[in-house]
Amino acid sequence: MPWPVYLAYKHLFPTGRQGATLRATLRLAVFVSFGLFIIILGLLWSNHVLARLWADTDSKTTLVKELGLVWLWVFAGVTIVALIFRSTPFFNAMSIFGITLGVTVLITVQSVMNGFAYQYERVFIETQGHLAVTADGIIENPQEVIQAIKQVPGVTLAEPIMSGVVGLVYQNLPAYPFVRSFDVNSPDAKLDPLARDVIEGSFDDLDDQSVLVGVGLAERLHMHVGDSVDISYPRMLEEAKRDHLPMPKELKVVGILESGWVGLDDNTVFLSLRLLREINGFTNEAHLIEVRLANDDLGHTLDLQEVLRKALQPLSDQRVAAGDKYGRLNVETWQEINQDQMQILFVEKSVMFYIMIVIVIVAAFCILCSLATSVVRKTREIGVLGALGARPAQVAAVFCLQGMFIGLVGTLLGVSLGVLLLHYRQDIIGAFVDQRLILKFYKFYSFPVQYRAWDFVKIIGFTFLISTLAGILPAWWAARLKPAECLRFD
Amino acid sequence: MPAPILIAAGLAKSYPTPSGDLPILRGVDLQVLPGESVSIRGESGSGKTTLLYCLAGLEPVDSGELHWDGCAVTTLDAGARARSRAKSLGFVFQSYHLTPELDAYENVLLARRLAGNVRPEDRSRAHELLERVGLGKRLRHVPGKLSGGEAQRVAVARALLNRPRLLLADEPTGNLDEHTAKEVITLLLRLCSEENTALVLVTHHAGFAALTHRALRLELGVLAVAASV
Repeated sequence: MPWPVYLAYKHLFPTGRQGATLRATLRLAVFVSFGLFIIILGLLWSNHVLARLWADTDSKTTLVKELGLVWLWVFAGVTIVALIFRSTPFFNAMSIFGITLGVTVLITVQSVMNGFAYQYERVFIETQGHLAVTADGIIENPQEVIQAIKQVPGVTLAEPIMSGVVGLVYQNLPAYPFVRSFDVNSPDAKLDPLARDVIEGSFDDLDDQSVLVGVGLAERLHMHVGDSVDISYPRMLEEAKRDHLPMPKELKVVGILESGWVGLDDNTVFLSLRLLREINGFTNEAHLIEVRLANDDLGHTLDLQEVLRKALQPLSDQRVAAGDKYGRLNVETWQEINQDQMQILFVEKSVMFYIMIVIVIVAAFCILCSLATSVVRKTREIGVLGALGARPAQVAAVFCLQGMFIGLVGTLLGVSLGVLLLHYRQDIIGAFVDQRLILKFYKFYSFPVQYRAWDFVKIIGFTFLISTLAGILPAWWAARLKPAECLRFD
Repeated sequence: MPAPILIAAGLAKSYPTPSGDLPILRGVDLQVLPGESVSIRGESGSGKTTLLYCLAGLEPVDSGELHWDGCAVTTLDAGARARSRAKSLGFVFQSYHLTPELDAYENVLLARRLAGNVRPEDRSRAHELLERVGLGKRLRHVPGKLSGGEAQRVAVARALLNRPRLLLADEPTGNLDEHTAKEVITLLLRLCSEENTALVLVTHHAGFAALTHRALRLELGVLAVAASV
């Protein structure tokens, strides 16, 4: 091992401190962890969480065991902290923890933002499909287009969709949900993922006289399978103008659907395609054709978008040439359709990254101060190294490597702590925040997290780089010192 | 007669001050034969440490020539001097200057690390040297747990690890009591003799100077034979 590496390591973890007084360290860890555990219990009690957990948990023994597990985690954490403080000088330990906290925050924030993006991606794909074929207006004779789409390899489903808004009255309670169709007369209807989300009743029962209701909407209106609802629709006004007496459609609730996305479940009903066409005054049209692919990969989706565009071009030109001036067919990905939401998420993630990075930069300044102090304290040692034959660059490397080691240890601890916190995020957040708040504002049932390798590479690389750079200035100072002057330093 | 291991000819060194250059060395001539021990005494501020640092190549000289084992040191750049110093020179300081984060064994081996890779024979030699200086049972003690005399013995072992042809000692007993100082000096001279290492010893102590082969005095920037020791 090159001696600057060896000496840098020894400066951080001196002989005689490694594993020193392990028994005393463990004893200290026990006391401190109990103290912290009492504080945590106090926080849980003051937030009425303890009472709620006590009431909600069937087995009190299980609750006690879970609290015991909490103490064990606290003890493990305190032991690690204590061992680090025992193994390395105080300033180095503080530098390590600074980096640890910075990396923990970065990993946590980025992974949660990735989780949100991923959840939205899943929701968009599940509820809207991978691609949407639309026209400038409405799509006439969608079956012709669907046939052309199905020729493209990789397409698993192409279904015509009508959508809109309806008025709904149940037991004198009004609602104005979105409405979406299922082509129940097509065998492909069951291939739609939403068809598998019916939690009460049956998707197979959906016909021209029935309706599926989103679970949130059903709960809000206290609706159940078998109940009847009145559906009003915008065309009723047109019919009234033609002196027809428009009547709401009375439909039977045959199923409750839960997609997992509150935005859909709270405010959507599902009708048969034929019925939705009828109440919109259409016979053989569709607002769009939802295309689903075998592979969710975005790259694959983009490739097939191009393929589909080329495949539909002749049909599109033919329609326009035949006089359908709104007949030009467009192919959009789910990402293009939901561009605004995805862009907002990307911006939020980027902004959070750049804000959180400040923590790492502050920690790097801590490293710089610690190493600069070390250069001053070790001035005579620098002189000795010079007298023993060390070159200035090698002396500089000792201090630069210390910064690197601090960054490395801090980063490893930070990644571990971040992943651990994310693993138990539901329990931690749930202990202090009402999960219904998360549901209400973020539209998901659980706090989403997704790990992306590139984020880890970015965070680890940046932290490592900045820790090393923090060591460069003290290293430069050390290299400039003259051995003879250092030896005379008092 | 073997060639001198150290040849210093006309070494001159001065320090800049606000009122002009202050000459410290005014043409020092010194030759040391292999295995020979030479002591240099002088009053405080006479320039003994400066001379030693110049002989070690740690301080650049204003003029003169310096040769280590036939190699012209004054013509080498700082990096080459450092490399040469690591292989050919040993150094013992007044304040021991052991690395506090390393134990005795690791401190001794540090000299080898600076000179290149540590080989198994180096580890054996480090063990052996620490035994010879009487610290065979204190290998794993850090400097904070060693007495002044013990720390200086570790420094002596470190200085001899690479089998240097020349060892420079700057008042190695300056911080020790009389009894310990005598033990350390005796040890240093004996080991240098056994290793055939030339020794240049800077000391205030007349009695210790008398133990060397040759005693010199640094006066007015030049070396002269000591009138009596």
